[in-house]
Amino acid sequence: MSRRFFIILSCLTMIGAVLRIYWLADTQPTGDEYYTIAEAFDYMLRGHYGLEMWHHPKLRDILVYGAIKLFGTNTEGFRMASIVCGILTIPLTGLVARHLTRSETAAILASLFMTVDAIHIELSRQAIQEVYMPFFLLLGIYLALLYEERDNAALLVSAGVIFGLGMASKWNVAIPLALTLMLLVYLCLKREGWGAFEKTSALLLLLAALAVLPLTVYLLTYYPWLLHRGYDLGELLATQKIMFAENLVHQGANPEMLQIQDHSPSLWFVRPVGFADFLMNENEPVVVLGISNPLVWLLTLPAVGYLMFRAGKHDWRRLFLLALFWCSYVPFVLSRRLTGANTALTVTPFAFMAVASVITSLFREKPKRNLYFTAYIVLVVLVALPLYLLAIGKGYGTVLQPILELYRPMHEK
Amino acid sequence: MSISSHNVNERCRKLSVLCLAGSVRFGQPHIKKFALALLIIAGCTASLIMLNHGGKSARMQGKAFVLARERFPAYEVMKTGDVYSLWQERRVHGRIVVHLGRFLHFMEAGHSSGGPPRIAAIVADHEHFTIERTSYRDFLWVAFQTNIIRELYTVLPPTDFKERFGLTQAQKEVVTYEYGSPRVFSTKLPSVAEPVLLNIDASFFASTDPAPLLDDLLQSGLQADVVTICLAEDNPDVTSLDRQKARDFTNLLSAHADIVDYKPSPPLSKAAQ
Repeated sequence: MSRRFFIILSCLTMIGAVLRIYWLADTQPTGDEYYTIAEAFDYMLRGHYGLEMWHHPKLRDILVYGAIKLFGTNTEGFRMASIVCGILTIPLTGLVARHLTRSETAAILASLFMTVDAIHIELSRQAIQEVYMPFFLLLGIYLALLYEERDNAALLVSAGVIFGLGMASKWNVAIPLALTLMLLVYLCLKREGWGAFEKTSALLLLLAALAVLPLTVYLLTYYPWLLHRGYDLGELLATQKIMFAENLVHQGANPEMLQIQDHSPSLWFVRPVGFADFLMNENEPVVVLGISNPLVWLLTLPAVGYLMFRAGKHDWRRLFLLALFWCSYVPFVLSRRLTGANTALTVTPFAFMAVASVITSLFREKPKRNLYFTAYIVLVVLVALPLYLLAIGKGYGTVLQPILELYRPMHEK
Repeated sequence: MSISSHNVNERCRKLSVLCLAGSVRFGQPHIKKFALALLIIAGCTASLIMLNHGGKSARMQGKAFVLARERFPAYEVMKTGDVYSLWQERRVHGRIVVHLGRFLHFMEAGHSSGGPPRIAAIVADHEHFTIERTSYRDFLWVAFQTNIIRELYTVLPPTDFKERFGLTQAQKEVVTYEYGSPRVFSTKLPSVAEPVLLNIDASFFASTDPAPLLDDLLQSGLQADVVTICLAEDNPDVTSLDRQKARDFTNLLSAHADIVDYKPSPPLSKAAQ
């Protein structure tokens, strides 16, 4: 890792941290967050699931409860896990992108996209689990790639634990976990100079660290449910089936909120999409609205297509990136349940990497590449500025009000 | 015999030489990987076994009786909320409850704090789950919230079952989930492998006679450590005739059980806290 890369990545992380923390202390909780706090206590002290997304895994309850105990019941305290995960996702995007694209410029660009992404910023400022997923899946992938590079078993075991925590945030993380396991198994089998025993040992370790261990970590996050309430593992598995069934048909707890969200994953990279929430700040209404940056999100499908066209059969890094994107994205497109743009956060890291990789490689050949590159970044940041104000709830009653009006529920119009 | 023993020794010697050669040839890191993989699998298995054991250990019960074969204690209680109080006194926890009655007693109690929600109030509410008043409307909900109940079977009279669920007589059971925890509604006593808390509410006798119910109970194969017959004097929807039938049931049951008149010692609200 070059010094320049490290410095720029650190700067982006700091900028991202400021964007995610600014005005946070004054922002009252959203309806989702009120339920999240109550549920964290219900779960940790009595082992109960509650109204707020009961069908999702339970790491959020553990982290929100822990954050409140450590940092207090203030507005930063209960959001601390989201803030930390949200901020650390920025460098992780760069680090994973660097491994998969073999370009520090592309890695920095992908990291910049994550730094200024309005939907990621909005959800990093809320005590819900959406930003946990990109954090855990990127950290898991990064540690697994480091293991492949350095052959250090501790890195693989850490990856297994992290992936387990990711699955305990939302089940979607099982997809990048499975792909990472498949990649490492493939690379292990392909490795030259290893005999049967070496390969068997390595494969057994892969299965133990990236299958048995994450599953165990996932199940262990249900300890309050078992220990407080007297359930056993058989009953836990039966409940998992009920949760899965609910996941397939879940329509949200609040029909009014459904009207102000984009719910079609097939549109995520076709037109700008948003995730809105509403809260009261003292006596003033505040609307937080994260809208995708069109200069990044709308380039995703062409970029992925370009990468598919250019990918060589033996370029496992690029193929892995493409597999991560498609395997994370397609299940949402095919799903018949309503899926909000908040869920896109499990796909966007790979989308950003693909866009950054293609832009970097296209500009590389151009004589005025620095000019083009700078112009593109300036445009992305200019578009991100008003989107940022909307994402932190500063758009209401300003020139940005017409954008918010697009998301007003029908019965209020 | 000696030839066979020699062969075994020879094979063991060859195997140990092979292993030694293997460890030298393949190098230490791969042995370490193999050992680490086994360690992870063993550790994960052990932790899941402990988790499972911890869950089962959280269940607390008294001495259980097979209702069909053994003479068992049965408590006659006056008020619906007293059933909850008795369960608390007996320190039962994490249990399957079989409740016979016309009513569900599962109305969710509101939070104690009024007005707009404040984080500190939410935390206080949920950190110290207090029951300010437990009534006939919600005593099963409260028992569920305080983890006395982990699984609830409600046996309804057939007419009430049909009225409530709008189902045909052919369908005898409805399974729902309270945020992942099972609630089963049926018209017949369930078959449950572990000892249960059995509560027979007077309302059940609105359309059932004592003798057939006793027959069903003694043929059910149920095991229980706490059996209650509740006269539901706090429930205005239960008639005097229902209560009289419940008393008749208690008299019939006294041939098989030791009947105890139960009166809660402390005020319920204090006990609940």
